[in-house]
Amino acid sequence: MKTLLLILALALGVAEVTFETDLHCKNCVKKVEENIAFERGVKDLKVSLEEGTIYIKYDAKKTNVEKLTKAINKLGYQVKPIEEKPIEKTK
Amino acid sequence: MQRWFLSVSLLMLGVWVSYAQDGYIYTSKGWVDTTGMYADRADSLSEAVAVSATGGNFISKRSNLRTEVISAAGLCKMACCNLAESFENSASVTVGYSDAITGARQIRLLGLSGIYTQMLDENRPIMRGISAPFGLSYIPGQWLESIQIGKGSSSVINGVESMTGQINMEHRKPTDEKPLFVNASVMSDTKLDLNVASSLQLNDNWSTAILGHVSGNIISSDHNKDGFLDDPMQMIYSLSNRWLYYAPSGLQVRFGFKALRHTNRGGEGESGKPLYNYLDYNSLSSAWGSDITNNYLNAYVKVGVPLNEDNSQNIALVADASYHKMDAHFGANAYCPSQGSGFFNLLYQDQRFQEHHFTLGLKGFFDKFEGMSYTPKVIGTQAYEGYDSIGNLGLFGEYTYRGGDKLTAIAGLHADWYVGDKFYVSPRATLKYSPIEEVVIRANGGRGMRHAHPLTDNIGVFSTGKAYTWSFEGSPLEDAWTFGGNVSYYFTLGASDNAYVSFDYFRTQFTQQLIVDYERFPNTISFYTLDKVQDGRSFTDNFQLDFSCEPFERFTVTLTGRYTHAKTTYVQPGSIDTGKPLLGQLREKPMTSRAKAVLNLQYATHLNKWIFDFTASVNGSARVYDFMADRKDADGNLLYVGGRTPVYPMLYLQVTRRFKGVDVYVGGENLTNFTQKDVILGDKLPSGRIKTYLPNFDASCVWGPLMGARFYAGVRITLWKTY
Repeated sequence: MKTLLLILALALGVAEVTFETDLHCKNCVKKVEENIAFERGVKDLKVSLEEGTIYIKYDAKKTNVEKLTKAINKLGYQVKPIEEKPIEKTK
Repeated sequence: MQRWFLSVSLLMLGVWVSYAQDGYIYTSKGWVDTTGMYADRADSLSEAVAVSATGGNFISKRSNLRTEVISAAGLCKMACCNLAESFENSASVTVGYSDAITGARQIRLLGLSGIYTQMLDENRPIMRGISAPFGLSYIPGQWLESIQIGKGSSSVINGVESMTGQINMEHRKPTDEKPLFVNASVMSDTKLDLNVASSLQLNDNWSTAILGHVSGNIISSDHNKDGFLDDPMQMIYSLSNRWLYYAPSGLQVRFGFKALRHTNRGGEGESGKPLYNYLDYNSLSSAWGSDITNNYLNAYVKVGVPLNEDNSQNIALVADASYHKMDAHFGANAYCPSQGSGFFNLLYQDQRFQEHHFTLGLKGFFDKFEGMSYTPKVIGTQAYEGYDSIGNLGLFGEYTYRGGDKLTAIAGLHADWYVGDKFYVSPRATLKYSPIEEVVIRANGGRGMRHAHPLTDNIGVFSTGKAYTWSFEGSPLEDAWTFGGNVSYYFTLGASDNAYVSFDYFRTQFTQQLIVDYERFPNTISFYTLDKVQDGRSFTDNFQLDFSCEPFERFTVTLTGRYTHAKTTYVQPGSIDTGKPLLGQLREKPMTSRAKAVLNLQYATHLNKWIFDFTASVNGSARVYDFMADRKDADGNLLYVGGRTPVYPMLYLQVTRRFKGVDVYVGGENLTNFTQKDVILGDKLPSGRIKTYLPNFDASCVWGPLMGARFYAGVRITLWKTY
């Protein structure tokens, strides 16, 4: 299923993923926003402390869920993807 | 330039790996919040601290006192090189110069001088006594995480020296996940700023932050060709180290120190360099100027001891010690005071009951002075005897009632014994009521008291040739009552569900005040107290309206308007002291602008990669001193029509480009290039040079900007901790 999603994302160009995360404070949110926003391929980013989620829209040709997971882990936070889907062609 | 190179080298600090999240420490019990020594303190400015770092300036909905917060994002909207400049886009706080010589900045809150606003460094009082004149320049804007401006009579817990309000500064924390932060900027007038900060945690218990700052200008200028430098030549070196110790038992200890050295030379200049030399000064032939050196040391400790597991009962101790030495030379005169200060605050907090909270405490200040007496070398002047020490010991208590989310009522009492004086009781009360979630109503009132420091509170008087007269001895105890309130309405508009309209009114009424009167006698500055005037009154009414919204995503609009009505009873011009109260006249306070409006627009592109900030302010007119009313410009036109300063605009623009860990910004200040004309008053020689040896020389009558348009560029580099 995961492979199928990956193939579909590459074909369509843009995908989105929502991670469940262990962020616990507003400065954690700031750290993620100020770093992940500048990761290669990231097109949109929404971090919700209340829901404990990180939503990322990305260019599937430049990055993927594994790379994004690794980038967030590097900041000191554990994440688990809870929703992934390809969405539209890259313009 | 060599000086700069050495300074930069000294400030490049090592980088360690840190194991902490901002404000939190990871222990065997999991993550523990260490941000507050005074957790959930009723009416505490700390309540307003934990806010979004992306907001700019905004009015805190949570705080019980009417509080404007300048967040980290707000501190990045403009150059904000130091604390004074951080207030440039606030309408609550007006920033100006004490005089045209020293570069000393002063603020106004609720229409009154900043000396009536208590300045706090994470709830420790600072900038008291001789630290006040330049204190605003000693806090680099990039050292700060946020600033909270609380209007009105705040909690008794920090004492009662706050008469119009409190300004609390939160510094970068030892638990920040930033092993290295560097900020460097340069202004078109050659002013250079360098800040370096490093936060690291050594282990589960200990963390520390090291903050360094160097700033100064290589050359000055005289754009208005009056023979005086527009800005003094200055260098500031500052180093601070802050520590946090957290024990598994919940005990928290914070301590730190700060060291600062400031050199400042201004006055008459040539080719951008000051000419004044106090060692070889002749009043008739030498260039006039100022030469000031400040050396400052501070150390503090804060201990929080929980008395039960959930910290609902705790004891806290704050102790602070500082030493300040000022060596100031103005023309033929010298003023070289020193001040050693000690402060402690011991409090017990009980928050076991959800609805009822109590705080009891014991507090004391003691300031030891040397060199406060002063006899300027001016014919007709009186000597000022000064004072050796001031101090007070106080007991306080505060009760807070919390009626769910809708109502908070706080009543506090501070009983103080002032050394050499008597016992005073200062009550304060605050009410916050939210009938519905969208509406917040605040009412607040209470008494404030502070010792006046006649010369350092009014450092501009040194930049004159005038004689002084004194109608008191020592350090008068000023006394005022402030009452007011605020109504805020929050609503959804455009992309924001937290847009707001807010209106507040505050009145400050003095029962005792030191009055500095430039108009009583020609070429003389008279210092006297309000009780020397028959039916003496001194009050300020301040009205302010704020509006903030986000019409569409990433575009914020903030609009603020303030109106101030400030009047004081001054003795009739020419009145001689008779030992009895003199006849007076109630007049508008001079050199205090009546109104100000500020518009701030910010637009950020997707993911905040580009940020555009625009600020426009309109500054209303002020009554000028009577001796300025007839002054004319070079074409023979009256400078002050109707005896009032002109209304003038100030424009600021900044563009920031953000990369991963790096922000690059360029901007401009005072883009309309408006400056005050005729800044240096006095008779002129045929060469055009001011006769600084005459008593009508006055460089302290400053009401507007001294510097024209300036441009700047800078970079902020943040190294975030990674695992």
